[in-house]
Amino acid sequence: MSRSRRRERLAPLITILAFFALWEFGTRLLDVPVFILPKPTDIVASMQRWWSPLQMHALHTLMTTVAGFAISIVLGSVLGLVVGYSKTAHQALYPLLIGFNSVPKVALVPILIIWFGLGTIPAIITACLISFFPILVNVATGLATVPQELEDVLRSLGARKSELFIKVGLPSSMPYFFASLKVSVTLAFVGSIISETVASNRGIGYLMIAASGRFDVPLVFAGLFVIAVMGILLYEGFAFLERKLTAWAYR
Amino acid sequence: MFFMTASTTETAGERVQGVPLAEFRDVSLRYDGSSESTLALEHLDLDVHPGELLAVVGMSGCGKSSLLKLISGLVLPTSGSVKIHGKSVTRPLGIVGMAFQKASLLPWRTTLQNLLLPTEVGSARRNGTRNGEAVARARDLLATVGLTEAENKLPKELSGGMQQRVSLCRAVIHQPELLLLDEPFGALDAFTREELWGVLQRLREETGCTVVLITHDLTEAVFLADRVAVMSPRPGRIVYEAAVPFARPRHLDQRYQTDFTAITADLRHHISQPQEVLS
Repeated sequence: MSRSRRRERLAPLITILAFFALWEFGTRLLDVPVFILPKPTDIVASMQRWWSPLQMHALHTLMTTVAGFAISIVLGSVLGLVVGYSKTAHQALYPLLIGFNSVPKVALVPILIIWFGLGTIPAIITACLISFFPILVNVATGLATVPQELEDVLRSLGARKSELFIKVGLPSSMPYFFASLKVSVTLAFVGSIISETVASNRGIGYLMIAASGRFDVPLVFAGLFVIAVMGILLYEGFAFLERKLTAWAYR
Repeated sequence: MFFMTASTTETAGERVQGVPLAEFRDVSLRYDGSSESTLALEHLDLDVHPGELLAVVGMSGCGKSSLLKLISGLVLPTSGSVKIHGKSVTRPLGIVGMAFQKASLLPWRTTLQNLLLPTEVGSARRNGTRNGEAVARARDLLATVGLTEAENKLPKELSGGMQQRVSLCRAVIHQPELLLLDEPFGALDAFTREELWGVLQRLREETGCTVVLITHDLTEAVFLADRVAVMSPRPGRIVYEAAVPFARPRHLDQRYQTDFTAITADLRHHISQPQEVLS
């Protein structure tokens, strides 16, 4: 591996270490009280102490997120395909969808609780609602990128609209689809945690609210750490899928 | 099938006197835009004879591309008639191959897979072109244009000139009777363009198909064509035709000879002053 490649690999690691070192020594130097900003070492200690509940709640949040995201992939791609395929559907649906998307999803949680009660279902729905729109927009955009010339080439051979869609439209929307997945999955995560903090008795969001109620600030931060790590892993997972499945789109 | 198209060329001489492959009679074409409609073509008369390469030249925006859309059946004339083999065109007939200035290859397909695309849709698919046959033909074509090595490469790994070669091959893979080219070399640098003139000449000898070439490069038109038609500015019509008598295949040096430049100069004259010709 060349020197510059190795430096590229190490750079993010060094930034992260430097960030925590600065945090650790800064808080020690200024003697910041633990209930304002705990030191990274306090947070790690708290993570060790509460490891098994952290694990349980994190796993719950992960499952909620994955469930919500799975629905949002289906919903987003189906609506995206419809909107991208038919001009009429595009004009009919878009204003409604944009209006819907601009409503902050936190504001919907209380309504979801009235309908479904406390717990997992509102979290799944929130995760889904917050994350389907980018998928929809990207799939629709991808379908619209088919070059006119190619359409002419195939239509002059008597290709049907459905053939164009399968041979050209669908595959060309794939890079857009996968690019939207990695963005959307982090949004889904935001959605489920929002819902958990407002109304749930399980999940990492609930754990953090409970901890902050007891002024156990290190545990709140421990929750944040876990969220950050899961977010990075999900993002990287979908980024990896994207690179594997649509390598042709990248130089 | 391969032999059928080849035999068309042999009989081309006899057919010229007979029914033209494509004929335009008093064709007008109006596009309805959102605010106003534009008249792209008006009173256009033109014949395309079997086996010939007809170049159509004219200023940009004179409706040259509309001509191709009419032959291919993608667009129907507002008035007048467009006939193929004496029958009016009412829908895409599947007998044409097309290539444009942009190669527009599918980026996820290799060269070979891109070539095969036309055999997977429309009438070719329904007629059940056998895959092995098509692949063999694709490899032959790649050899003709010197791209055998690139068979399994993705478009992003090919240069602009190579992509355009693939695009030309894709236009003839399904053995069209009529090859329609819309400024296929317009985006290439001068030297690559000369190379591709050679490629097109070879492809034409190999497949024997009739070609309509839209271009605004007069040298290109005269170098490649048997006949050059000049279109007036919008609304387009054919205002002048010139035969190019040189034997094929032609060589690049011929471009600088006086009998060659005489034709280009003559054509140029008819493009710059269409009004005089009309009167």
